[in-house]
Amino acid sequence: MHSEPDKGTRVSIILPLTLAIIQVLLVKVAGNVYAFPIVNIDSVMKITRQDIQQIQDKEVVVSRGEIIPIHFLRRIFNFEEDGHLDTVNVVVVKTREGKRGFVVDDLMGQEDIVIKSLGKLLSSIPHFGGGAILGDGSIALIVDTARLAS
Amino acid sequence: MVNESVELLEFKIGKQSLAFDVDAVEMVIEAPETTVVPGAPDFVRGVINLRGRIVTVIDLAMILELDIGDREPDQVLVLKVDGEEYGIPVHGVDEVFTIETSDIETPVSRSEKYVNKVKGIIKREDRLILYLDVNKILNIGEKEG
Repeated sequence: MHSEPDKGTRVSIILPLTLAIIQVLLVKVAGNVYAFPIVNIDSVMKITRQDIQQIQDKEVVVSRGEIIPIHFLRRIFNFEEDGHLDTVNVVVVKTREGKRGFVVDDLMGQEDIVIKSLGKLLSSIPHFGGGAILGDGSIALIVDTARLAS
Repeated sequence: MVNESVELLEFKIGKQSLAFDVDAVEMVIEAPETTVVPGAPDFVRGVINLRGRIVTVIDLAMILELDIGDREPDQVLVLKVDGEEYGIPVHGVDEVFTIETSDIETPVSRSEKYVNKVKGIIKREDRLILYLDVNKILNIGEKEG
């Protein structure tokens, strides 16, 4: 901070380079908020239960001629399943093995967030790549789409 | 013989009195809202927002298989070990006291859940306090995780 009488005050803030800000899509699953990095997202679609087809041991949807395996986040995260909904939101992400769809409860919108580490103890779990603190002080876990889909 | 002394913080989980080295304890806060982390080990309750930092909350009652009754812990001890912070939900923090190491009794149980995690047992007034090894408890967490 630098002040000069009758002139004003200059406040300089030096931000560390490791402060990574990314754009995410916030979604809700069983009342919890999760973040999908926008760079990984291909598209978002609304589908009905009838659109989901069983092939081999996978559930897939066909979208614009493409077969997209889908995963229910409630199932992966061990939350109670919500079977009564007729239409569901699917976040389609790009992975090395192709596109994958993740079924979520609600789409909440886009936000810029600062990635924070979850700490040593939780760095080994496959679902999340970090966390972010939202405007209201709550925590959104950042979904690691590549590891979640495999 | 030189008597060394240690400074400990006494707290409760359920009815059990426990103690940590006071140096490891950074602060005590009111229990904040905990965000559950799917896929985390069982003894991880979740994460909390501690002044903009994300801190892992560890369920010590589960690690030591303590009975907590129906009452949810209302306070969280924040520990700082090797630069990492951890939260431990407790049912109240009692006091900080100093004790000579010669007054600490050796653990009575060799059961798996206590071995290495308990440094000793302390008699204080009418209470028996488990003196816990912070590093061992957090390390065990890492191995299992």
